[in-house]
Amino acid sequence: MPQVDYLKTVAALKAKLKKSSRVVGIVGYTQSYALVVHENLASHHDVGQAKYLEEPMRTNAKAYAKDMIDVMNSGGTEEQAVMKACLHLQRDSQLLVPVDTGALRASAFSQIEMGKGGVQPFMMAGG
Amino acid sequence: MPGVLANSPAEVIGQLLIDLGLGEEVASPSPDWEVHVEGEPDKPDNCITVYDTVGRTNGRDHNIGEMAEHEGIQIRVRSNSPTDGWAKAKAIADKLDKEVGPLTGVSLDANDYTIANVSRTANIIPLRFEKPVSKRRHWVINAVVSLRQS
Repeated sequence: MPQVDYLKTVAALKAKLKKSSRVVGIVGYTQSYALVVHENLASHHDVGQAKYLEEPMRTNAKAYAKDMIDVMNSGGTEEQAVMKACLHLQRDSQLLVPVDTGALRASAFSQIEMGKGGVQPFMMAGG
Repeated sequence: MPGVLANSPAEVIGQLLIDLGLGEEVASPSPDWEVHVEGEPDKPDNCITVYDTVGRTNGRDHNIGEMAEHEGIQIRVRSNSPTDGWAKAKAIADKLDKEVGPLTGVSLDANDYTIANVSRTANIIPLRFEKPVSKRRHWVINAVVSLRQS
């Protein structure tokens, strides 16, 4: 996906977030086919699987919450807490993402923004 | 919810779609919009397939020890017509939002189920063409389901 399209999409997402004192984390993939691969349960992959963001987000939600709690309890900032959870989710997701050339897995990203709070999976709707 | 389930959530929701008039049973006289579970056939072009996905857990009842679970499903609509496919996906989404729960009953394989709610987790997602030369497209609806076997 062209870099300008990715930046425009993230900018649009930012515009939707209400400004507050809370921090929101975004974990996603920038490849244009990321959404299709994520949602296509009928497709077989020699390595990896569909729902590579949704599955770890649902099954490991407590672990990501614990990441944030641990950072806050040790004196870290909200931004550091959310980023740690994001990186944890990203790592878990990259272990599940289908691999052919490696481009999709390499397109994973984590970032934080001011918004409603928590960690949000993010999918690029390109294609 | 859900406790013990003799059928998978995808099977129950598949039967629900048939009961709501949104799809047809496999090998029915009308081949359009057959409802399949966990396996999308190559024919007919217009069909609906329901898959199980990862659900959510929401704690545990300390009195009876039962986990509060919401099962995940994906409803996949395929069509060779963008208009028909979108209309079918939208009809499914609207009926799930407005007509299912809190005590919707479904009977399947001599088992009775009560569906409390089907909550969509996102908008209808349109996917790209199936193949470079195919006109078939897919639309997916992701949801979590609260159901119990009676």
